[in-house]
Amino acid sequence: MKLQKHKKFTTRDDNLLPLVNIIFLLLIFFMIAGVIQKQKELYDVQLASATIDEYVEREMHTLFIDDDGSLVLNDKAISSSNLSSELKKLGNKKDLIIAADGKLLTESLNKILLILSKNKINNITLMMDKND
Amino acid sequence: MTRISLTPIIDVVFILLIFFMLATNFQDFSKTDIKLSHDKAKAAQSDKRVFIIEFNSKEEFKLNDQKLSLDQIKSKIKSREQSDEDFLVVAKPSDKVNMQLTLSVIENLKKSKINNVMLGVTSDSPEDAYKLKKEKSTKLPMLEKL
Repeated sequence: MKLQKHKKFTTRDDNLLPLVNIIFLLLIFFMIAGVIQKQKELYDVQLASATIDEYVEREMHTLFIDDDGSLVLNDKAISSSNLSSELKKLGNKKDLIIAADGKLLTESLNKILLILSKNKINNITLMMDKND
Repeated sequence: MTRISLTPIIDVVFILLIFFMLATNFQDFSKTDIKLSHDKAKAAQSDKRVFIIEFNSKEEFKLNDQKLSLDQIKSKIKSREQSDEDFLVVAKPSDKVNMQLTLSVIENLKKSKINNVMLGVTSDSPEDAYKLKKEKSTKLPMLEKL
């Protein structure tokens, strides 16, 4: 009996197989390595880089301080003269994350920290870019 | 025999890939809880020994008014103190020090297992500062000179 010769099927798509492999690998990489979350708006603040992870996760208000001393509290631009009244509006929950620019000078930071102290905020959380 | 075309699956995978590339965020922030230490705080409120580390933008350090390098300061603190509960460290940057340097110093201290670091806040009014300086020289027995 004559065996039928095995026919090899080829389609135009076969040339795309290496590309599909790579795309799948990239897809798996992004799915596993990345975290889908809303990108935190940084308001042009270039955070200082350091890695100090001593933080208890809790609900907090965020205060951005740019290098020129301009402030953004909970996504709202405020002036330093209004900071005190804005802090009073927060009520009893006054846990604050401070995201200060790496170039911010201590003299500017001190003025803000003094306002925080006057509002009985003596524990803060500092946010920074993680070192690699 | 017919074979399934790969083109539709490639389309879907491409769309998924673009979605994940745009939606994923790799930026990672580090956060640390820190207490503020006031000039005005009365020393008598605490029995702990206080180490005040002052530094300027030239990275010149002083431990309780004594000029030392940061490494010397760290070894001095660690050699004197056994337990974290016995002492407090106040990092006090001068006016022209930027946030980057302040955080690097705090990071450096924490990496050396000096955990109870506070951030020093200086009073803004010169009058207050003068008063405090006067008080400090008379009322702070705990600021033991090393």
